[in-house]
Amino acid sequence: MTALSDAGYASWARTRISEAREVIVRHAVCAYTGVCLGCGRPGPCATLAAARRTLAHHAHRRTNQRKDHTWYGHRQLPMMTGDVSTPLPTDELRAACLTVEAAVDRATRQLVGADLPLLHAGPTRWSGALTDAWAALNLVYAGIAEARKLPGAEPASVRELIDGLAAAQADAERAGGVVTRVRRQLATAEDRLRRTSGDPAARVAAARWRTAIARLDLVAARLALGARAVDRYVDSLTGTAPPPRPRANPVRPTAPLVTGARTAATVLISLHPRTGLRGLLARLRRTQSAAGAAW
Amino acid sequence: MVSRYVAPLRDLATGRVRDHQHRLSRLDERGWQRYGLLLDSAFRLAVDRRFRAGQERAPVIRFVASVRERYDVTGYDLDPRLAESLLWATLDGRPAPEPEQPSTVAAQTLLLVGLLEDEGLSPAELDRFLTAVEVDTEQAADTGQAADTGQAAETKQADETGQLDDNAGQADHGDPPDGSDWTRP
Repeated sequence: MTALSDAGYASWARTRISEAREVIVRHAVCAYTGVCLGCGRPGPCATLAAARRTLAHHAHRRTNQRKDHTWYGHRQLPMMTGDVSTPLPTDELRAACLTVEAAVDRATRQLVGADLPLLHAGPTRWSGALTDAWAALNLVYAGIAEARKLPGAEPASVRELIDGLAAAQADAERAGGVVTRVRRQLATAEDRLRRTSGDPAARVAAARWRTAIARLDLVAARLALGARAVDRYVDSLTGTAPPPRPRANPVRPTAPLVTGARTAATVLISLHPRTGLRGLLARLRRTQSAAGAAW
Repeated sequence: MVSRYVAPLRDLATGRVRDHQHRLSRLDERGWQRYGLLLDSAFRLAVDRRFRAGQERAPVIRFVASVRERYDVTGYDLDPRLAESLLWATLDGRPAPEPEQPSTVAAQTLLLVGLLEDEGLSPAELDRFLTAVEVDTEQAADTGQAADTGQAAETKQADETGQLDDNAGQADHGDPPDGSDWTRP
């Protein structure tokens, strides 16, 4: 409850949000030293934590305020697109990695007492690797964040900047390799668990690992996208012209175009049959026809 | 605000597949040609954002495998050779192999959806991406028309001097079938 009017509250909230954003930018944590760049304390400092809480409080979207892009299966995780003028939301990726760790914990708990030494060895191996991957991911984002033009903060030297970005890119590639190797090990362990054990606890653990594999895929994809964004940014800094893209195929016959597009749409609909307004209408029609058949 | 030809792509990227189907069903011949160009450009841009030319093959193979895995439950088997050849053709700067096959169009669409899903673009980022696709398509069309105009002029000149046989000049792929300008809806 608030004594302010709606417009007054909105204005007040906008002010708090902009203040919190400024504090977050000012009190960024250096990924290399772990020290807050704003106040020199070990990061994240209390000021940064308070600003994050304020931002989360005012920017949190309630479940009844879902926008159109939050359909089932669509991951609404903003990603760097080479436009380094906007802040990069690392919280989403941090959440993804924490979800993987939670899945590992749950799977490990499910497997307590099971006589499957290989399955116990798996999580210990790849949870460490996941930590490495996450650390490298942080380095990538730190590189981008340092490259970002802050108000009144010009980069000291373009060469230093490019060197830092190249180092971050190498870290990203190394982390991508680690994620890939871990993903293979996890997939093997999951497959073996599904084939060798019919125990419900083992099935639950396998399902958790499946989720973890999907998350690892996402981390690997984000690392690749991040490395490409760094590529493009370095190109723009050095003035290297990107290689010319090939000319699009000029004209295709309409018939195969129609057939191919409809085939793809059918495949996508069978994957997510109940999305969007038209999906809702289709569901209602189906419910009505089922009720009619029952009568 | 995106044009009505980009709207089906936007529906694809945001998961409104029934809206996408509905919009496709309203396209005429010219609209389909325009949609084909936009799909091609969107695919090339999305691939360029994810992979780099001359990189190792493993990430491409893994991406194709992950896309095939996503659609495994639907019973549709995306041809891995076709999918990889599409990606490599884009990275190497070659035209898409077998662009006249329906399976190529379907594979391009499914790979594009996979690439955009992995990117997880916010609505604003998606708008920027689609705007870039439109600009890219316009540029490609302009370049194509210029090249075709040049080719037609050369053909005419050569025909006048009697250096070409009767089949010359039929390999023109840059103009729409009805001779209209499909770059401007």
